[in-house]
Amino acid sequence: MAGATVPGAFPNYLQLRERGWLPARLWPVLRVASVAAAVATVALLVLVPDLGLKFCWGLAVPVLPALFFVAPGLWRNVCPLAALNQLPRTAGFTRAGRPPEWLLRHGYLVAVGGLLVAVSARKWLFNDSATATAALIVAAMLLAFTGGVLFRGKSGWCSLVCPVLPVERLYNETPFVRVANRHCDPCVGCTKNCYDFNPLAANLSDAYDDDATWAGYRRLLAAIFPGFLIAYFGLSEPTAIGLGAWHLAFALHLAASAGIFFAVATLVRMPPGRLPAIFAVVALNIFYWYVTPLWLANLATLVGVVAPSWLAWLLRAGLLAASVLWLWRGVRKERAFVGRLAEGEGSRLTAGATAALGRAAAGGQEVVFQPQDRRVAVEAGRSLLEIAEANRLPLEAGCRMGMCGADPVLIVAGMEHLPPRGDDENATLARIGLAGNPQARLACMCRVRGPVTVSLAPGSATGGAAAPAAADAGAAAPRSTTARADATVRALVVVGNGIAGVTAADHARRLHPDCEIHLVGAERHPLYNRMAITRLIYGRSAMAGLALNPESWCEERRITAWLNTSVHAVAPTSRTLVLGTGETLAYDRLVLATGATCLIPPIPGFGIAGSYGLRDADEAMAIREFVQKKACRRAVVAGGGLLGLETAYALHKLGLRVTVLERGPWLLRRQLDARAAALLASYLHGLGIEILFQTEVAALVCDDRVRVATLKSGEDLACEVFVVCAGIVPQVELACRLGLAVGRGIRVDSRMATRDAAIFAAGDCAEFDGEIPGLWPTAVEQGRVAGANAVGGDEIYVPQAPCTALKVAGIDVASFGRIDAGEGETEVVREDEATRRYRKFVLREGRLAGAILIGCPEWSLGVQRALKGGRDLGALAGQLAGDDPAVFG
Amino acid sequence: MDSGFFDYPDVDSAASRAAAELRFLPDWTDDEWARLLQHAAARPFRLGETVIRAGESERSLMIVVDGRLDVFFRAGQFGREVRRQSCDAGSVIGEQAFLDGLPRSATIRAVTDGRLMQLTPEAFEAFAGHWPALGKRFLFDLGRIVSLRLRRTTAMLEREGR
Repeated sequence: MAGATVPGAFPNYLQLRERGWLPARLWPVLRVASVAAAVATVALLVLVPDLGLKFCWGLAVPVLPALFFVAPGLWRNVCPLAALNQLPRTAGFTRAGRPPEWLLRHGYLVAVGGLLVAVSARKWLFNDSATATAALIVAAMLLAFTGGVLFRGKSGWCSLVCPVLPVERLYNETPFVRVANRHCDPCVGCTKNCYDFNPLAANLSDAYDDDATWAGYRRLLAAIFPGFLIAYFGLSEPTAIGLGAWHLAFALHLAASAGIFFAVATLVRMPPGRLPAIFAVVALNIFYWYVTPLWLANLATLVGVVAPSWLAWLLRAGLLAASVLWLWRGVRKERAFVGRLAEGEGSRLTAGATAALGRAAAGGQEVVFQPQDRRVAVEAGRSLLEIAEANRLPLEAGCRMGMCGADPVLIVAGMEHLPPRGDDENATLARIGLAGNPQARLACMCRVRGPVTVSLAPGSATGGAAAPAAADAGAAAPRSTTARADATVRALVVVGNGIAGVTAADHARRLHPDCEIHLVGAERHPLYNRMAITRLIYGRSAMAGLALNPESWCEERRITAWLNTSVHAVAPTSRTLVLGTGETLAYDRLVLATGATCLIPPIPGFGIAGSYGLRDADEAMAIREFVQKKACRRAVVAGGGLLGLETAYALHKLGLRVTVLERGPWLLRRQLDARAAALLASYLHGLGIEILFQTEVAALVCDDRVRVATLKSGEDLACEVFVVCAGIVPQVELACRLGLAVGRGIRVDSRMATRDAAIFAAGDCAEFDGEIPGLWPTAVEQGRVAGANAVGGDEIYVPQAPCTALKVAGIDVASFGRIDAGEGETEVVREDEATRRYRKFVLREGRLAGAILIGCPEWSLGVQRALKGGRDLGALAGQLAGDDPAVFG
Repeated sequence: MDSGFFDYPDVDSAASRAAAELRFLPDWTDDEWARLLQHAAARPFRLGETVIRAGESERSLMIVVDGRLDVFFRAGQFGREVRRQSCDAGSVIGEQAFLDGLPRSATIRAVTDGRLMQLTPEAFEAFAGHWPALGKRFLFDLGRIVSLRLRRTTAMLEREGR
């Protein structure tokens, strides 16, 4: 047995049994006693009718509602009818049939009918007839027993058609004492919403049942019950007014009671369980209002104990108080019940899936991001950048190779669980003024090996990251420390404020503390992350976040920046430039970092609204603006290279249907082999991006804007936005006017010097050894060499193997150096179809010459190091096909 | 409407059928789950932590790995916070915002330490990009569950005569 009700807990009978304190073997004894008592009552009724009637109707039966109110489970366990009903099951001779469907659904109505007939018949039959009463009891015992023989569980009587059941169910809502069912071993699920199975939930489950008829029967009984009792006790005797009139009056009482119930239910909104509960306690109080004095009188007659007159009032008042408590508990329980119902409304996984989930979440390293205080658990080997992106935390991304500086963070704790800073990362941190802060890192370079706490606000976290920029300029010393500044250089002009130009100006200042430095840029924006311009097409934050240097960067380095400024004229003999604004700049040294523009093949119709080349931020923002203004739905991107695919992805994210046209047989031909490209194409196709190979645009069909792209194959594609990403054209116009040697780009030697010893070139406009890689790391390195050499340094540019990464969410594509084995080279290829991973390593004389990585970001840092370090991997070649990126150290 | 109060042993009850109907992707294999979860992010939470705040436009689908969280709604004219339900291992949270992108309607707070797996729409897109057939089944099943719940709500409104 258990007492207190804990809100929210709805234990079933098996759980209640665990808390029971009455020994299980006691119950059969009690049942035998109760059957014996019933038989004795029948005998009494037959042998001493007056005494029998008084005992039965005057003393025993009036106690039952109180028992249902306080401890209904006790009666359910010891009722003699229940004992007889369960005998065939206990003894093993029940046929255990299933009652017919109509009876299961409408059994309650049968029981209520039995109750109304039996109780109303007391007035004109049973109360005065001991024989009839004895017959009623015997009949009920026989029916209960027969029900037990025929039907399974308690569906033959107790839980389906017993006339007392509806009264029990009215009052068993929140029992003060819960007694676990001791009949059902095991439960056979014989009836719906069984009280014996889950006492606290049974009534409310009826009230909230989906079957309106099912719930309605129970509301109806509660509705008529007070009227029923008033009629029973209040009406004159049937003999006085005639049986017909009495029954009519009886029925009118029921109707009036139901009328009040449904009027209140209409006028006052309350949860389904509340009004029946209120009517139930009203009925109970009416019952005992009438019965208490009678019962005390009967007690006096039978036992000889005369109760004081105030005792009846005390019992009535006690019941009223208990009723209020009972109602209050009912309200609390209904709230808890509704809460549980809502839980049932939620979707869940199967147990097996939950177990798989547990395995997936197990064993991660905890990373905490500040200031959001977001905790994530990640598998070791993922970079802070990838983790932040996966969790939608605000962190920019650029080259993902530690070169652009888009993603600075501060490591608040756990630096020992990250790889140490490399040269590239140090150089980049120096450029953005964070090298002096030992906590500062670039998120893309931090592959976690243990718990880490990281701040995404490098300017505001502890350590004062914003301040030491000036110190950094000295701290991150140039690589050739012996170089001395050329004092004759008084003025340096750098044309172009992309990464090559800015790096050149930065390194010139590091070596030469005094000279005047001018940074002249045609673009409207200070140095920004050009690798992320496709995010301007689909992202929300426009240029915010794309800036790579602090606002005070130029000022701190005493560099004069000219934005949105073109060079109007040049005079190499007098070493002056005339700017578009009319000002004249004199230079001792000039660095050209004019970059490149987009290569636009001759396409009839190109140039009309909706056709774009994409090279800089303004073009990206123009595309977004156009798509929004014209509500475009279809886009075609010409070019399946890195920028083309990133543009296609961006337009896809903006909600357009995108087709990519690739001239060659596969995507990213300069970065991937056919197999890797097929994996990528399959992914993009899965996203909904259509890719057409070996095809080109023949013409654009336009009215006031682009409408259709006609392919060389003759096919027409609906097209409102057409973007060309077909390569770059170095900007050499200024170099030509300066009379420099120009091929495809401005020809330079390994010192980045042009034919004019006073003029250097770097980045996408410079051609070294016939190559224009057009890559960010190349621009950084060439800018460094050009800037230093322009002010007296002696730096040599050594081409590095190209490292590129595709920036499309959901797939990690990286390519390094050589992608196919040539003569004297070997390949190690590993593909895992199930996880869509692909790795290929190209080795030359035991050293890494190149690699392709699809879905293997944890390998990229090691690959970059191995490419640069040139370590002999001969002995480890076997392990390259394995799964451990630690093979690169 | 049932919430498993009457999951009779060895009996195919309406309650257990109703609960079974709401099981998400019941036929997926461990391998298929592993492919999905590769794209999800594990997120530990601490007792008292607010995991989702009403009004936020964050739209991840979340599945509780272990621990317990309570869901609170604003109710009544004074916007009092009312505990509506609680979630534990295996509970799927946030499928509506995941599908419609509208702000969160409830606040979810952890009442124990625990972990959940979080799947952003972007991560789902990546998953579906790699495995379009699985992505289709995922969405269909999520749609089925949202539809079932709409049916149950409709039935409840009908029952209340609204």
